[in-house]
Amino acid sequence: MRVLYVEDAFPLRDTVALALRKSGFAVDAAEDGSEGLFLFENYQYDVAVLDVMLPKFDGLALMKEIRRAERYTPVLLLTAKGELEDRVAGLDSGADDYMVKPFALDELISRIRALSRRGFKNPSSVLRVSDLEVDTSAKTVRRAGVAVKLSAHELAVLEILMRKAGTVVSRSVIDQHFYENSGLPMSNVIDVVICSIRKKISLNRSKPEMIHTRRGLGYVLQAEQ
Amino acid sequence: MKSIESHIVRRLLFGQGILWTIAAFSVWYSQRERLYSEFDNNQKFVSAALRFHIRNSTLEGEVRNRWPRFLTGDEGWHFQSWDEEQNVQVKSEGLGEAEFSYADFERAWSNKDKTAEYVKFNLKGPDGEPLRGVATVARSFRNGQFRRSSSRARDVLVTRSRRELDANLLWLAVFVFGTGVGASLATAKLVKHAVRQGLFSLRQMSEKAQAIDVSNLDVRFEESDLPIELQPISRRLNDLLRRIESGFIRERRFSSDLAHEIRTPITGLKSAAELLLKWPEETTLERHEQILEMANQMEGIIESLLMLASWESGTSPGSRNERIEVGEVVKQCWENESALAAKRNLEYSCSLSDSLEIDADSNLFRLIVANLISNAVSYADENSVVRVANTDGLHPVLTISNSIRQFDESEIANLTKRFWRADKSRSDSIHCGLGLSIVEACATRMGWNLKIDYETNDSVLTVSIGPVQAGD
Repeated sequence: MRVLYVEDAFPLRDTVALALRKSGFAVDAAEDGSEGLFLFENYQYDVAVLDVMLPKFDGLALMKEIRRAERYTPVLLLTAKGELEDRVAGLDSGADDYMVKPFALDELISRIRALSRRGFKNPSSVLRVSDLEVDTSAKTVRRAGVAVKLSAHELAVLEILMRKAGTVVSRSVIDQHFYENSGLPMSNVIDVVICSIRKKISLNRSKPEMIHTRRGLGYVLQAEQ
Repeated sequence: MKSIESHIVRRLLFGQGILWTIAAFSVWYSQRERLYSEFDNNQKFVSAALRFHIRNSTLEGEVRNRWPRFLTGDEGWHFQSWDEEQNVQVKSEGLGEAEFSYADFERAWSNKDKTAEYVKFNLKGPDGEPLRGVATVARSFRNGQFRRSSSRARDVLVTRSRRELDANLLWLAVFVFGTGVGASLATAKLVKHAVRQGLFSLRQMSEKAQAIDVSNLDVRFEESDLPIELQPISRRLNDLLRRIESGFIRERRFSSDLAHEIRTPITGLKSAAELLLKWPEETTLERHEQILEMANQMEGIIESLLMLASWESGTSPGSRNERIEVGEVVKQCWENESALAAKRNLEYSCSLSDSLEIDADSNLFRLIVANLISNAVSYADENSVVRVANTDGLHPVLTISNSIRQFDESEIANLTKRFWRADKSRSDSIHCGLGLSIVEACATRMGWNLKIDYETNDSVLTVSIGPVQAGD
């Protein structure tokens, strides 16, 4: 999942962005509204987390620009303004969620995850394809009841393949969702991750392959070829 | 606490009750007197006539012809006369064996004006009938003593039943009382209605005032709709509401700004702690520096607020005035900001006289200068000049001016408000919007005056500080 995070206070931005990355999100952090808008116009994001009071371009104005561009990326407003009218104004202007500082990091991460699920047909946190089961909240993966240990990045890539099960997911989509400004679509980072996931979920080849390569197109996750 | 309405109604009804009682009694009493007078006049005439006939020994024939009721005693008609020895001389046949007591007549006469020719009094008939008696008095008061009018004069008493008169008077009393009660009830209702109508505006005002709370302090009383007696009150209330509302807005803005200033570093600290607890491998020197920076930011805000609070409450001990070299203090404060000034390519121009010295609280003066120079260095346009001058002898003591193009002149009044910031995003962690509030508080404590001007044409903001002068 790729998240745009716009916050002007550097220590907070740095800390939260790191926590999101450690939780498996690809994070682009911007320090003001104009930088946030630039990133938003040039990349695809699953969720945008915006501080309200930003230099140059405040969070509400940025969100209006996002909505004007007919992009329905879920937006979470993050602000120190906790008055009822502020929250109402934020939600009325198009935000999907609103969090008042100070917040708990775990709650922020859960909310971002919940918002990111809205873009998929199955918004549940437990995904199943055949005997493969992924719990995105508990961060657990089981194949035929056997627990599989994946890294945060592997889990994030598997989640999007599970959510789009049966359809081809291109390398650029995976790249955009999980790698911050890598700009290297031809690199083999994604292949390495896919290979590692394949190996782990096949329980060392004891179970049939579920992730299949479509040459020139991308990858598809399905029970049988 | 009683309501004004019930208080006024009760008072009015009490007063009206007294007036109605007096009026009713007056009516009844005047009617009683009139009826008694008519009643007595008739007997007076008969009594005088009887005396005449007794004196002329023509009584018997006259009684039979003119007053046959004395023969039967109908309706209590009787007469009786006494001689000089107070013995009964003659009496009507209707009395039979019975006779009236001379003592009753004498008692009535002695209670009256002794010069009166007639005595009127109530007495009982032989059969217990209530009677009204009128007697001619055969005495006159001359030279300080009573004398019989003439040797042949007699005291003659004529009586008549007053049963009908008493019944009429009772009926009159009942009528007057009934009318009074009815009128009182009607008046009470009218009074209550009138008072209610009269107090309608007051009640409306009270209901409106009761409905006012913190959520609707913008409510105002419409003065033109109110009676003139209430207009000064409503004007005063509107004025108070305006002040309370602006106070609430100020407090709310202050709380909101303070919350914002505090919440961001708190969030940073909390997030850093959570991050390091969850992923201890991320503990780095840089992370610790960030935590320290956020803690320092919070400390700065809290220290500034506590400083302001202690000055305002008067709990901060003031230091004594001492001789201060103004130029030296300014130079030291500029040096503290020189790194930022160099980064922003600011030029420093100081035209203070080296010999300029003042007597003031050195701590407060240093705080003022430090804040003003820090603000100038932080907010002046890059590549511009910060000028420090003493323009007019000792008044103002100090003038600091700098160019600032991105400034709205209408914001001058907000500059000394707590947490007001030119940067609406409040991104700058060095300043928190308390600098000029502190300068103003210091100046007030020193008995000085802070003046801020903005020259729109040159985009120059000038802050002057010095002792309060006449005309400031």
